[in-house]
Amino acid sequence: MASPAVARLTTDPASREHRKRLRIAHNPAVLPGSLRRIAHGARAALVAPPLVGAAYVAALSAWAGMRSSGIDVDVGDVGRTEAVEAFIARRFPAEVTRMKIGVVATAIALGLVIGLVAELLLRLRHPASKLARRSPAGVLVESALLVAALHAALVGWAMADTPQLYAAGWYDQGGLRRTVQVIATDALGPRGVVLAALVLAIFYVRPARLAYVARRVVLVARSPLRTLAARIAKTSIAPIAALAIAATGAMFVEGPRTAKLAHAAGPATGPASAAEPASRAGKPLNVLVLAADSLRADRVDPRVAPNLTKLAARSTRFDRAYVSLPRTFSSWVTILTGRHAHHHGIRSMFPTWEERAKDFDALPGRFAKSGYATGVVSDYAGDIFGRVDLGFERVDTPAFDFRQIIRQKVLERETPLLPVLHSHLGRRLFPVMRELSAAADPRLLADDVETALRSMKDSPFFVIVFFSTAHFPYAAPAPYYAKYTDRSYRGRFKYHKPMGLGRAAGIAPDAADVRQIQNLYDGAVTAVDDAMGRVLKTLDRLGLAESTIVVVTADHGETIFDAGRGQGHGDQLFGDEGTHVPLVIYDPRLGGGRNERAIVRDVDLAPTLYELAGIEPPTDLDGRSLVPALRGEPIAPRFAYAETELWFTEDIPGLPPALRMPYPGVMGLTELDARHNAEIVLRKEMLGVTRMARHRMVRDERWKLVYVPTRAGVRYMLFDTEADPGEREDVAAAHPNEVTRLRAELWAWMLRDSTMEQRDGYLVPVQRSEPAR
Amino acid sequence: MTIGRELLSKRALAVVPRVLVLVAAGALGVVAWRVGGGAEPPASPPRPASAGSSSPSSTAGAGENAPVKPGDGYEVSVRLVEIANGARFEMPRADGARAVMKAHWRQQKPPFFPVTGDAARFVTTIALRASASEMQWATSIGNDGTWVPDARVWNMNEGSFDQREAFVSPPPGSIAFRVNVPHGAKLTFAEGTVNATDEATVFAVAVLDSKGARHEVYRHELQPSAARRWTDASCDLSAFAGQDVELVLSTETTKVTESPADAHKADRSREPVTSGRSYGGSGNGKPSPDAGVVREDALTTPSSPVALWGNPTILAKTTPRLPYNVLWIVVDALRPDVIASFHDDADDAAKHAAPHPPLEALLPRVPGLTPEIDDLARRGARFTRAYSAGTWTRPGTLAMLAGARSSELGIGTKDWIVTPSVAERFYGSDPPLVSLALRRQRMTTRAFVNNYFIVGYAPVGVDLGFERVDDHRYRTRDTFEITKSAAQWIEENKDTRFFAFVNFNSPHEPYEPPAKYLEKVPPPPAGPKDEIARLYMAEAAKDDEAIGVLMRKLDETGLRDRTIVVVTADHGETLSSAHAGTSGLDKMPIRYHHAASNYEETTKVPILIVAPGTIAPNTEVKARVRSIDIAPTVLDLLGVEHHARMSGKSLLPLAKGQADRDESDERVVVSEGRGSRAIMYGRWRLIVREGAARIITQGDKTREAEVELFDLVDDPGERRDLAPSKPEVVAEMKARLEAALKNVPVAGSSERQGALAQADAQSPPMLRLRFAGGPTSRRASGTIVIGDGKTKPKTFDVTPVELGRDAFRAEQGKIEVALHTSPSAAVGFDIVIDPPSTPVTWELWLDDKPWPEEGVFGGPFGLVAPILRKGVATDEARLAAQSIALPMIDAQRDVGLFVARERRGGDGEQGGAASDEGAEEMARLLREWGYAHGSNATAK
Repeated sequence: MASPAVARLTTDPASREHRKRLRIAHNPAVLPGSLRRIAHGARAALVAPPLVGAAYVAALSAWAGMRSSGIDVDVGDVGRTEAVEAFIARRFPAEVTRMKIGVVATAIALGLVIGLVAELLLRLRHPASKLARRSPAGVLVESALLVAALHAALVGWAMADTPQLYAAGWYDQGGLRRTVQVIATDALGPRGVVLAALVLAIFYVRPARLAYVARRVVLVARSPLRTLAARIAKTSIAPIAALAIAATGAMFVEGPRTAKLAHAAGPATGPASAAEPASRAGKPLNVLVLAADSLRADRVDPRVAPNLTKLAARSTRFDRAYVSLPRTFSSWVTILTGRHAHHHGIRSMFPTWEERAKDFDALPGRFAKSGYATGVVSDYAGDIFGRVDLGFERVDTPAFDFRQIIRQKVLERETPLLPVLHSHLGRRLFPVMRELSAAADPRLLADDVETALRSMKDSPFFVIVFFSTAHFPYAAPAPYYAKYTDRSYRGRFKYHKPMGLGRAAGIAPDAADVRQIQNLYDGAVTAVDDAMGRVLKTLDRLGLAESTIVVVTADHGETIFDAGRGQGHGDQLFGDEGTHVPLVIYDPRLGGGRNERAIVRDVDLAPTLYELAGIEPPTDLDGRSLVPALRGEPIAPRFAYAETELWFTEDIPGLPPALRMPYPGVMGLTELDARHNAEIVLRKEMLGVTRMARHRMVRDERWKLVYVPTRAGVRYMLFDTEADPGEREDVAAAHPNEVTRLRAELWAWMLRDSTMEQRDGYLVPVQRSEPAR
Repeated sequence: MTIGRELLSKRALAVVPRVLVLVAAGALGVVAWRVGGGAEPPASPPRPASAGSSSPSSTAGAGENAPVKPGDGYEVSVRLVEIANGARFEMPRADGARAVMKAHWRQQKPPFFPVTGDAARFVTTIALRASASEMQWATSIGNDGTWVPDARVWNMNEGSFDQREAFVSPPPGSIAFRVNVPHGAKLTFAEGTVNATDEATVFAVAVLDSKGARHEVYRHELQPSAARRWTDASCDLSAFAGQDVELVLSTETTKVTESPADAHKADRSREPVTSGRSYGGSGNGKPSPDAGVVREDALTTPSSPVALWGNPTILAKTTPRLPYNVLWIVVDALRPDVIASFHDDADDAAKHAAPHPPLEALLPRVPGLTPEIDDLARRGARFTRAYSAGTWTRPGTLAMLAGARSSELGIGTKDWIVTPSVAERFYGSDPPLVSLALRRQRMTTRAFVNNYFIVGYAPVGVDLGFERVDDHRYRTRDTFEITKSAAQWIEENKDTRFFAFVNFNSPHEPYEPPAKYLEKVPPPPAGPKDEIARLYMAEAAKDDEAIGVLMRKLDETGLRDRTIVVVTADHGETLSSAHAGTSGLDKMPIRYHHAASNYEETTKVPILIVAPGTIAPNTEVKARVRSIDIAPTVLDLLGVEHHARMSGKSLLPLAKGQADRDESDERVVVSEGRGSRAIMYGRWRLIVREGAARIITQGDKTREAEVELFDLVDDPGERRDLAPSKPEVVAEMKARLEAALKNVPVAGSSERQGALAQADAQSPPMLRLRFAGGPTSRRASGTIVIGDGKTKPKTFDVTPVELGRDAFRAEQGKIEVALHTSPSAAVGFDIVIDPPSTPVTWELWLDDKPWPEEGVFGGPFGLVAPILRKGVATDEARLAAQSIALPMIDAQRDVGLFVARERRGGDGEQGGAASDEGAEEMARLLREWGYAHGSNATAK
């Protein structure tokens, strides 16, 4: 296809001749004018690269849409997958169709844009005269190849940037596909892919031709700048052209960042920020809670979380903060109400409509009443904020209902479109992208936070930012996923740790896998840390740093194969990893640099924030304010309590059946609530057993007692967390006094749950009398 | 020409296709945005769906199709506002009406049925003047003149209003409904206009019958002099009985026919008398100029009247299904000791003889002060130890109408004013209000009140589901006005099943009885020593007389025998000098008031229920009961099902003298006030105060009272706080309060066993025995004996589960067992025995060794239960085995005998919402979220 560059250059001066000849060929006398135009138009249309692009991407997308998604295939049971699809098609036919229309529209739009770029390249490479001479079929083939190459470059870049989204379709499939993705991620990386694409593009257009075109462009542009431009063009035409293309590419690579740069360059932020704290002196302080799902307390260290460590150094850091129900939904409601789960009633991830639709009298509601703008910004783990009304005015989290699930299902297999879908634009077009667990990109969320803060900064605000990336599947984008991992690793968890998928789930991870997963988690934490750092910088830029109370915490920790206990949270209370969370409170009025060693709890945060903001708290809170600790005064010792949530399977590593009350697996536990949007709720008849079977614990600074009900009786397990930080050895028999003391404390707490009572040593649901009729 | 030129500026046309491509891409982006969900509003947290979506309209709908017999009375067939969603509106001048409506002084959206689409613009709940002489005030708080609800508005609004659910119909306009006309139907409605103009309004009703012919059945010109109030009307639809017709309500304007003089006379405005009464510290209630208060007639002078159809309702002539009407009279702050028949001389004497006599905390018995209530007491049941669940009007009224405490309904009792979100949630939650329940039972529901706290959807109070509310607000005349309109309405609606709620706002302070009632209160010692208490008692005499007027109306209309009469109070009144003082909350007075305390005086109320033919006359019930028990009682008397969220318990067994086993445990009495709560149990009352309510100022002394404990036997006047000296009682009572607040039985109560016997009687249990032997098959054998020396079973029925018939032999009250366990499923028997209390004992062997001690499990969780080792013979054992279903048995792992005594039907049923396919989808999701770890997650 490509002739030698030299030849091309020599033909160029002759283009005038070609043109003349062409004019003769299209002599109006030969063909009637209208017919000629139609013929010309038809030919142009045939070869128009945007059309080629649209057709190509649409076809790819349609092909991808017809395949089952990788996840379904991996579940292994084709019959079941079909049943699910049939169910969805029957129950929500319109929704699937709607989504497909949206996907096709997106595909065509993307194709048109890619086609435009292809056309630009095509015209850059070929002089118009030559192009006009070539056969339409030739041009068509060349456009198609160009379009395919550009799209491949785009996907390649995205594949390296957010490999988790592509792993199911590429890496996990093995063979060539695996090689392609490994090359994209390990050999090239996202920047490498862009660079390679640029080099190829320049090679395709040819540097000499590029230089010629650029010179011509300068000549034609008869502007006052012409001389200047000409001078620049003379010195470095090729690099400038390359830069121009690179800039176009960068729009794709760093779309959100450019927006941010524009802000940074904008006027007024600098000087205003200096003056603002003074003018805000009388105003109440803002509250910004930075939280990450599954963030372990021990990861807030300089290696993995430098930004948070820096913040902690100028704040009060609580070294022993515990949550009481280590799963997201319950934990957030506990944190924000200042009441334990048995008082606020959200005790599982699947509460019923009735349990959710009530007045929780929570922090955001009270802050809102006191004139604060309240909001929460989050990605997929934050969908719980859309399921319960805690009083937020602005809930910037993905929605969660069955329609969203269908949308998710349609989108997750659209690999050809994912590069655009996973972007601010894509999230705006398809908000459900924020609900994809592998697409929890802290960089994008930090941008959303900036938008939210800008719009809320004029009144005092109470904002929660909740990052999901540290939650499994620990899917951090580049470079974070590779930051601590071993590049040569080729196991199942190269890019993330998908959960419980089909056949592979039965195989326990080996030592290399475990190391990989732990490193992925650390990478995810660093990704979140960087994003939190950006949010703090934003705060600074908006001049709010000295008028904002910043809290860093988590809804729960995470066990990552510590002491042979598998991975997750909420299943068990053995080991501190699930319940121990970071807690850092920065109040600009109070000094920093303190480490509080006493035990503090999730329920203590709400009273603390009420006190810091000077808002009257509800009278029935379970926690006590931590403000004395912020002032450097000693705080009274407290016990931390916790309970487990639901168990969904029979085998949970580290939790043998002998330590469990048996109850059905997830299918027997939950049902769809037909009255409310087919939401998943805990079955009514499972309420009793799932409450009764929970492990519950109390701990002080050294001892930890776990109440373990089993069929054969209640077992109390005591751990000396100082001598045995891994909590491997039950020392109840050796320390009966500690058991007696802590058992009394634990029972006092357990019986505060008015739905439960003590019978034969067990904590069992209260049997209500039947209503008399 | 150069290539560069070609690229940049060859022809302007060259750019066009590129622009077109970009535009196309953009357009497709918009398509993706709309279908992808980007265009949808952001997610909002769930709120309870608006209630009643199922009930009111579907009840009416079902009734339309049901065969209707001719009868002696009317009941509601369909309320047209409830079928507004299906109506067709033609309102060309809707836009013009909007401004007029916006400026109206009091309107709300109808809260109890969802109105959507076009209908939402034309359905409203709106108040007009109760009579031609009333003048209402509108506020233009807010720059656009929008009416903003505000407590102040109510307080200054001395006067009356008549609030109805209505269609807004700016003439010319029409609303068409498809209805099936029941037998003997009539359409009742009220005509009204929002504004007075120089045109008259024509209200016309036409019927398009099943053949398409049009019949005008009603036409009336409403003159401007009748503006801003309701004019009741009705028309006969019986000619169309049984037909599916289109009913068209239309309005148009016409020339005025009355003389201007008449109009002026009728429309004269009276300056309202402003009230000195103050609620919530909102001042003396005078309209303040800065609030932007204007008289309603000064607001707008549009050229055309905006017409209203108030409560258009089709009534069907039938024999009403409910046996009674309900007339529920609430006398605000009426203490039972004002009523002579609520006194028991022996009780009074015992109290006065107590170590610490009550003094003025107990009013003396004054016979003849309340003759009407005493007469009612002779006709029905009086509950002389009854307590309100709230110590001020809103919680007190809510509790009695909902059968649940205010806090159980999600409405706090501390703040005077309910925030709109709380109110909305309350309305959206399908509240258990008796008014709503009866509305769905086709009663017409009507409230005659003077009450800021229960009228005013959203910010002030709660309208409690009445389709029509008359509110009369005058300082001294209110009781008489309320009585007058209630009596007149009863007369007019004597043929229709009704629920009338009448609420007198006296003897609420200030006590200003007319002189003639003061004369009825004798001087001390026969009367009270305290002058103000005398005034208070005289106020009660006034209300008694009003009750008499209503009773005579019932006699006149012949409804006495068909009407349940309830007389009660929303709370008591604190009159004792021991309780003088001011609460730190809003500086509320405690004495001569209520709300800020929870004493016997403040919480004790009379409850009097007359149900001719069901409750024996002159019944006195001395058991402790609660105001939340009234609503379930009324529903029981009518045979209507209770709402699941009613926590009160019917009083009917007590009133009938059938104190069953259930009553062996006393009803837990909890009352809630502003910042305080109290519980009575045994001889104790514990009061817990929160926040500012803890501060009590007496004279110049201020004390902080977080808890108060009183011994009601030794100290019936509650003069000595024992909290400091009896910490153990305080702790116990606090625990009881905490448990009661969560609405669970108090520890140690005998309710469970009683419930067991009762449940057995309702649905006989099935005894399920399952043998599990772990991974290997093991031999289980032995004998199960049914019955003993004393009790022999009448019948018993054995069904083997996963077993062949040869695994057992059943005969003569005995089952011989010889079976092998299976590692794939638990095996055993289901046994049904009549009578269920027959003892069952067994002697079993596992692999020819006695059944292991720790190998018997029982109840819903399959816990180790040594008590079941020898069988299910005692109540305790039955309780240990009681379960709504078998627990999960892992046949591979568990070894032992599982015993579950399961009731059939009822609770055991599963939710059943999940289809298999839905369940599969759910499993997939759970796996994706990571909550299910393996493929066995699907194993049930």
